[in-house]
Amino acid sequence: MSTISLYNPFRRLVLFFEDFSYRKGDLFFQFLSFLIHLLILIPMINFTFQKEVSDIPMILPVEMFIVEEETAAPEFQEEINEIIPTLQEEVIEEVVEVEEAPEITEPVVEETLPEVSEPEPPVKEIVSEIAEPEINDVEEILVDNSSDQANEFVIDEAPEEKIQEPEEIAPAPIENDFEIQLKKKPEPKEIEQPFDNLQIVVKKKPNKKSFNVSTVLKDLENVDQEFKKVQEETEVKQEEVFTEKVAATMTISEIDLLRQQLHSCLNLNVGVANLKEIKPVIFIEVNPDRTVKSAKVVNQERLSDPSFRTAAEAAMRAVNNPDCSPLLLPEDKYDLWKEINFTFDFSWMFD
Amino acid sequence: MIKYLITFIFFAFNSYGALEVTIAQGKVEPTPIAITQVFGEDADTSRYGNTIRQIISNNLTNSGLFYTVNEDLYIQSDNLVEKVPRFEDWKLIKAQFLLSADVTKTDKGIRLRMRLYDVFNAKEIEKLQLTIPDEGLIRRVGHTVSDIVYERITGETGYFDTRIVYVSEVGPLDQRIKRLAIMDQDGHLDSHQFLTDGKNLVLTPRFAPNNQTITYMEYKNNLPRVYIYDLKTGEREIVGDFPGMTFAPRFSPDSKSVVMSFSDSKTANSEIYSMDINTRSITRLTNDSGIDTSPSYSPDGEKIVFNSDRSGSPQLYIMDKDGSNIKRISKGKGVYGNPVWSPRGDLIAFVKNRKPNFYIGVMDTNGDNERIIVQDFALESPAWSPNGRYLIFYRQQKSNLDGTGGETSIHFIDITGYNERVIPTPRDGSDPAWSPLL
Repeated sequence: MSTISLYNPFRRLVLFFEDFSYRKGDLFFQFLSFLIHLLILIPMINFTFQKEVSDIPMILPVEMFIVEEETAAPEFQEEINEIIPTLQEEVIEEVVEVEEAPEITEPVVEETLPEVSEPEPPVKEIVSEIAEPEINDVEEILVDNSSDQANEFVIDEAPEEKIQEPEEIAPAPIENDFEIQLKKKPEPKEIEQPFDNLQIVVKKKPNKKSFNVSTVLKDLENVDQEFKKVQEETEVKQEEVFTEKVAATMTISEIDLLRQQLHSCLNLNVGVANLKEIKPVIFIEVNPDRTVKSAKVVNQERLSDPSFRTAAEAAMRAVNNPDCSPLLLPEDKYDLWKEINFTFDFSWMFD
Repeated sequence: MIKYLITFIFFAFNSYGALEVTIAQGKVEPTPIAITQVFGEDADTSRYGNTIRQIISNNLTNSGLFYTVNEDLYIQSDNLVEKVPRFEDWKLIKAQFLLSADVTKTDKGIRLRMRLYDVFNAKEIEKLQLTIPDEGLIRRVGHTVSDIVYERITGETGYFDTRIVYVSEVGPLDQRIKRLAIMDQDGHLDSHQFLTDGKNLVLTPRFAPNNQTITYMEYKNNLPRVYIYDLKTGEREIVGDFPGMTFAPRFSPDSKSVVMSFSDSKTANSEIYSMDINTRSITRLTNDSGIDTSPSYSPDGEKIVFNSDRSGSPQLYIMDKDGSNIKRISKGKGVYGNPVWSPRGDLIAFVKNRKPNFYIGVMDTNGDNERIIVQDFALESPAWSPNGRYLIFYRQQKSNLDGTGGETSIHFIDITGYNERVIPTPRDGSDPAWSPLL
C-alpha cells in the first residue's frame, strides 16, 4: 500500500503540503493542507470505487479463456484456412479481370509471370540500394563491437552483392523502376517483334498493378529512398558546418580528458616549503602521433632555486611519463595541440 | 548562442600560440625507484654494498614516498656508475628514478660512488663519492645516501641519518624495569644500545639540538631528577637539585638552556622554569595557581608552548621565552597535553584526551586547523622527525588486573595520517625522542 501511495501524485502533493506545514508551523499552511486534504481525498474515494468496479470484469475473462482453449481452438484454424484461399482466388480474379484482349492475355500472362518474377530482382536491387547505408551502419556498429567471424561474413558478403549488382545496372541511369523493366524486356528480341504493342500495354499494366500491395510498397520505398537521400545530404551538410565550427577549437571535454590523463601521471611527493607559490610551466611540442616531441621548462632562469627545480622536475616527469604517451588528444585538431603549455599548480595539496 | 560564445572565446584564446592547460591535481603515491646492485670488487666490498643497498631500500620504502622496483624486472644489470644507463629499459619497468653505486677499497678507507638518474627526463641528477675509514660507519653511509636521494627528489631535508632515544621496558606493570636505549631511526638491531642499567626508573629522554647530549629524568632514591647524558663520553650529571617533583626537561634550540617544570614548596603547584646550563641560574617563567607543565621551545627559541589547567582543564598555551604574553591556543573539546613544536616551526603536535580515546594531532601555532592524525586507547609522547614531516609516538595496550598486558610500542607516522608503521625494538618501547640530523 505504501508503494502505491508513494506513486500516487495526489498523495505526494498532500505529503508535500503536510511536511511543509509542519516545518513552517504556520497556521495558514496547516489550513491549506486541510483544504487540500478535503479537495483531494474526496475525489480519491470515487477513484477507489471506480477501480473496484473496473476490477470486477477483469475476473470474468479468466473463466472465458479456459472455455476457449477447450472449445474454440480448432475453429480458429478452420477460419484461417478459409480466408487464405479466398484471398488467393481474389487476387487471381483481379488479374484476370485486368486482361482485356484474349490475344494479348496469353503472352501477357506469360509475360506477367516473368514480370512478376522480374520485379523481384528490382525489388532486391532497390532493397540493396536502400540497404547500402543500412548495411554500412551495421558494419560500423559491428566493427565497434569488435565482434567475430559472423560479422566478418556480413562485411565480406555485403560489399560483393553491392559491387556486382551496380556493375550490371551501372550503365543504365537508374531513375525509375519502369525504365529498368523496359530495358530488360528488349533483351528477348524474338518476343519483342511480334508484340510491339506490348510495350505500351506493359506500360499501362504496371499502372494497374500499382494497386497491388507490392507495387505500393515499391512506391513507398522509392519515396522513402528519396527522403532518406535528402535527409542524409542535409545531415552531411549539417555535420560539415558543425565540424568546421568545432574544429576551430578544443572542446572543454577534450581538454578535460587531457587534464585527467596528466593527473594520473603526476606523482606528488614533493615537499618543498613554498610549493603553494611555485607554478612551473612546461612547454611541449607534440608529434602528429600525439607523442611528446620535446618538453622544456619555460622559466629556465628559476631552475637555480632548488624548490622550483624540484617542482619543475616533477612536472617534467609527468609530461614524459610513458603512461601518458600518447597524449589523449583529438587527432583531427593537430594544429590546435601541436604546442601545449602545461601550468602545474600544486596549491590543491594544501586545501 | 552561449555555445557560439564559448566557441568564440576558445577560438580567440587558442587561435594563436600554444594550447594552455592547467594541471592542478596529481596522485600522492609512492614513487618507483630502481636500485641496482651496489657492486664490490671483492667479498668484503660486495658485503658492504649489499648492506648499503638494503639500508637505502628500506629507508626510502619506509618513508612512504618511494617503493623499490622488483629486481627481477631489471633489464640492464651492469654497473652504471661509469656509463650512461639505457633509460628506455628503465622506462619500460616504470622506474622513475635509478640509483647505481659501487664500493671499492682505497688507501684512505672504503669508498662509495653513487649516481642518481631521473629516468623519465633521461638525465643524471645527483652524484656522490664518500670515503669512510672503517666498516663501522657502513650503516651511516647507507643513511647518508638515503638522505641525499630523498632531498634531491622531494626537496625536503632527509631524516635517515638520525637516532631515536627511548625508554626500553620489560616486566610486569608493577615491577617494570625501564632503561634508556638508543638506536638508528630504522630501529635496526645492529644500532641498538642500552644507556642505563635499569636499576633506577627513567623517563622523558630528550635530545639536545647539538646531538651530543640527552636530558632525561631518573628516579634516584625515589626522587626524580633531571640528568644530562653525554653520548660521546657516556658520562652523566644532575642538572640541578630541585625541590619536589621535576618534569619534562627540554633543551632550547641553542642548547644553552633547559626548560622544565617542577613544583615549588612555596607555590604548591608546578610552574615552568628555564635554567642556564653553564651558570645553572634558574628563571621562573610562569606564576599561576594552575598546573603548568610540558614546555617546548619554538625552533627560533623565541616562544614556548606549554600545558596549563589555569582555565579549569588542561589546555595548550603559548608565551614568549621570558614568560610574558601568554595566550591560549587550543580550542577544541577535550583535554590537551604534551605539546611539541615542529622543527619547521609551522605546526604544534599534541596529545588530546577525549574519553574514551587518546588522540595525537597537529595544529597551527595559533591553534587553527587542528587535525587529528591517529587515535587509540592510549597514545603518548609525540616527537617530530628533524624535517618536520613525520611523528613518532608510543601506543600502550590495555592492561589486565593480573598485571599482564599494557605493552608499549613505538610508532612512526606521516603527518598526513598515512604510512603508520612500528619501529622495531628488542623490548617494549615508550617515550621516544628523535635526534636532529647527525
